[in-house]
Amino acid sequence: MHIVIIGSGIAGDSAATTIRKLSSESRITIVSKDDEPLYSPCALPYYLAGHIGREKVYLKGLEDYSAEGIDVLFGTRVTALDTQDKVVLLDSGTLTYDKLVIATGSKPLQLPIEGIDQEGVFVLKSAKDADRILGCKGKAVAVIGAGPIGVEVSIALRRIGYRVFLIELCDWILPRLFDQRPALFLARYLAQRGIEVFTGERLLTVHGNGSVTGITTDKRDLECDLVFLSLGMVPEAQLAEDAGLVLGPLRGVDVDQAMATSEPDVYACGDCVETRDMITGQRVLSLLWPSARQQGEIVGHNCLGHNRLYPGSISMLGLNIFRLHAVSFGLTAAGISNEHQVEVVEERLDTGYYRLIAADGFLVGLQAVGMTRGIGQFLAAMRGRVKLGEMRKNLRSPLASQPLWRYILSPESVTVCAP
Amino acid sequence: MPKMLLIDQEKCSGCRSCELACAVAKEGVANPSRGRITAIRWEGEGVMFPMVCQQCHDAPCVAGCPVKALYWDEKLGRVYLDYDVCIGCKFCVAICPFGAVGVDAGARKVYKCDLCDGDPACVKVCDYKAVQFVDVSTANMMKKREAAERVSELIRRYA
Repeated sequence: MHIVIIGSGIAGDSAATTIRKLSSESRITIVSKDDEPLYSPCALPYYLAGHIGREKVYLKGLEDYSAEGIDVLFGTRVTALDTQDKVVLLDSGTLTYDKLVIATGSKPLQLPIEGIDQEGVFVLKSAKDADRILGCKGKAVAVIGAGPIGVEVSIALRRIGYRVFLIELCDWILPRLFDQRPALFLARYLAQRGIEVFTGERLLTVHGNGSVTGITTDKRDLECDLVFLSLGMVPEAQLAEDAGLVLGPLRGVDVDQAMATSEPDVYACGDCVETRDMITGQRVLSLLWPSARQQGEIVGHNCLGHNRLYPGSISMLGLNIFRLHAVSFGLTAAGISNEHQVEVVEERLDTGYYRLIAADGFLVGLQAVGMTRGIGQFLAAMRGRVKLGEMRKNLRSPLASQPLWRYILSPESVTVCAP
Repeated sequence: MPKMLLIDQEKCSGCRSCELACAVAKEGVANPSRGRITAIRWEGEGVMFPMVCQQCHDAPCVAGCPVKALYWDEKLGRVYLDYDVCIGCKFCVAICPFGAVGVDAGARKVYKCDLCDGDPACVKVCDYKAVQFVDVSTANMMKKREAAERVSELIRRYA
């Protein structure tokens, strides 16, 4: 059995290591256009800020693959797929497969903004991108898009001495992770540490004669020598589409719960696929490390005929905001459609700020800023489709281990407010 | 053969000796709040409950770690945190349903029970044997894990 995996990121890698764990005989080949071993994009802002060395971004060395008995073709492009004859066409030959895994990942979203193709405009996906930013030695940066990458890069560059302008189109930062109130608090926290935050603002033009000198938004002109684009990530699904695989409405590879694509013996996992949200059941691009890792493991099992199903994706993200921990699980209140009855429980304790969100009685979201130890209980409750009322009723159970959470959920502390 | 911490909630007096012994063994300070084990005390209900890493086989912290610093250590039957790999993002702290991963704000690092590499300090000071370190056959261990899973299932449902 020959299993070919396209992509060396965490999804492809966890598929490969899972297959190897289950079967010592299968031949496994990872093909990747990158010429570097497995790395964690999540660690890049830490490298950028100087908190960790470059070597800590990499989770494997090239020698680890041969030790695991995994063949690698790095720096190799896949030019086409022939799913009829089960052949992968490379820029340097062909590979025949019994099972194929597409784990091509995602790429930064590009928008046709005037002046964007010049020196000093950056994105962050690999260690080389981080090297390019660090090699720049600029003084001021405009970060476009205040999603998690934009916020983390803003903090990292502020820490190494940049003047930072953080520009967000939506009315508040981190709009898909936090509701307005906690987001305003986080924005104020960023501002207190020297990041200039502008929300509800659209980038119009990047200025410069070949290298960046400033930007213009719909509200102001700003001088800067760097522009960092964090507009979001989109699935890298071109190869799959060209091979005739069905893509979903969000432009990710369409897969069933077994992570199988529309073609027989072809699986897909990681950022390139679209899955279902565990809570809403709607199509979603998860684009998260834990999802990619889990999907890779499931694909690994299914390649060998062990039937495993993916339960769906759930949003979970933690941010270090100048040592303040901000965590979001599940849905935001603002992100829930009108037909549901939304209930918000908010509590400000001396350990931090906590917001629980219920839709039609079920716990569907949690936002925490400050001490986050123990909040994993609520993520488990979301996965188990637990009603908020039930959680309150059972507070006397000795299993509700942390006093803090009993306090948050006790009826007298509950403040129900509009989202 | 790996051993595991066996906790008998009924026997816990809430004395916090385990916390103290842990803090001394792992941090070199006599401060119970810095232990990896926590004796939860609900004075009103008279409930005492030592909480410590459950060493889950399919652990949320392992699944969530963005740099694979946490992994299952087959030999000692534990979830191991490799500080050489950890970048200090604290996601494990947030995701653990048991609140078993803590943050040392001073040293700016996360910590969890590592079973003292097979010789846990908390066990030695628990006079009531609420925390025991028991040798288990593989079959027995599976049974204990099952029980642990039931507990986590209950927490999921009733927390």
